Amino acid sequence: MKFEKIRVLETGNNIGSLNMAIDEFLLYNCSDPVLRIYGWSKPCISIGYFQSTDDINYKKCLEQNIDIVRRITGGGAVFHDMELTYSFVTKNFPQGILESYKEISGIIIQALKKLGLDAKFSPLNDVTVNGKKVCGNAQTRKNNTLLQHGTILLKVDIEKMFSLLNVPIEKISDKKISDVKNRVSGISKTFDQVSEALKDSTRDVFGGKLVSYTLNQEELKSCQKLVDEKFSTNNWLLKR
Amino acid sequence: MDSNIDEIISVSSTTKLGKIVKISMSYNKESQLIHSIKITGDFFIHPEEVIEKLEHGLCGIKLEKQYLKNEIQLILENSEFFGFEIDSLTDIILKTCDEKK
Repeated sequence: MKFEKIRVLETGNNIGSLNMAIDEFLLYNCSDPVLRIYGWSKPCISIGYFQSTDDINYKKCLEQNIDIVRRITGGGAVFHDMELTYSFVTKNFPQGILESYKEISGIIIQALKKLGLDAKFSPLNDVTVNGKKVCGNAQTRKNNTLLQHGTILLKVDIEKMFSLLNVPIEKISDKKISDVKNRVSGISKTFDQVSEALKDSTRDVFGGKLVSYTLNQEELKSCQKLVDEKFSTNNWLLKR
Repeated sequence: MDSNIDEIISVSSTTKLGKIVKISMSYNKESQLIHSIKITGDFFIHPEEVIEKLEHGLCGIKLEKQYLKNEIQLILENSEFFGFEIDSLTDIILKTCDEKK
């Protein structure tokens, strides 16, 4: 994929429902490709489109004031805390799912390489450093547009992460849990370092000019409407 | 409620592709027809909304491998999915009623 112009949207830290609403807004309202970089104003668990809320420890999330939001993309539950999250939205993309993951994940791999890390694409949708997952990604395609979003883990509190997720019964063996825990790692870089590296790598990998922009009042209103009518509702959260 | 309709039963399985597929369903004990089914997990289907079509389409289908497989195949024909295969999804659904026996 090569682009003449890529818009860069840095939306700062927001709550989970607004973060997901902005991603959906971009999916239906982008003409140019957009790289969005964002964070979370409070810890949040996002669950995949197909997941049940039984997959998370609902009670513990409430006790610890952790938001829960359902994504528009598949995949597993993600605990968003110390991380940089990105989304990439484009109308011009390879039709093959694996190929498109590989191409877009190329900007993550290149960014991590710029930061001195030996990052590799791990099909279908992960990026690893030294064999450990540091970035998970998920995609959806709507309106002839592809949205890929993903998290780059800066630091991970493994024990907290697992205390908030309900590990399926058949995975409950000490070895299997410890295998899963050992497969995840943070990259020990700052949000700003990763953000700068990601913008540089997007320019390097996809070519073209990066143009910074912000959402206007009208666009923000549309995102808020999506929060109110979809992402913050029980209808959506408990959909499955 | 029809006394032949079993209560909702659930089974969770990890596919060989490492993804979780959970089935919650009720079925008629006598006719072995699916009454309702919910398929959840950390897999991917594109487009995502096909899952609702699949769950709807499986209602009324007999809990026999070939019937189930044919229906799943038909509904997922134009979709792309990752994390399970048609055979593994069929087997997990059948395993759900085996757990009950």
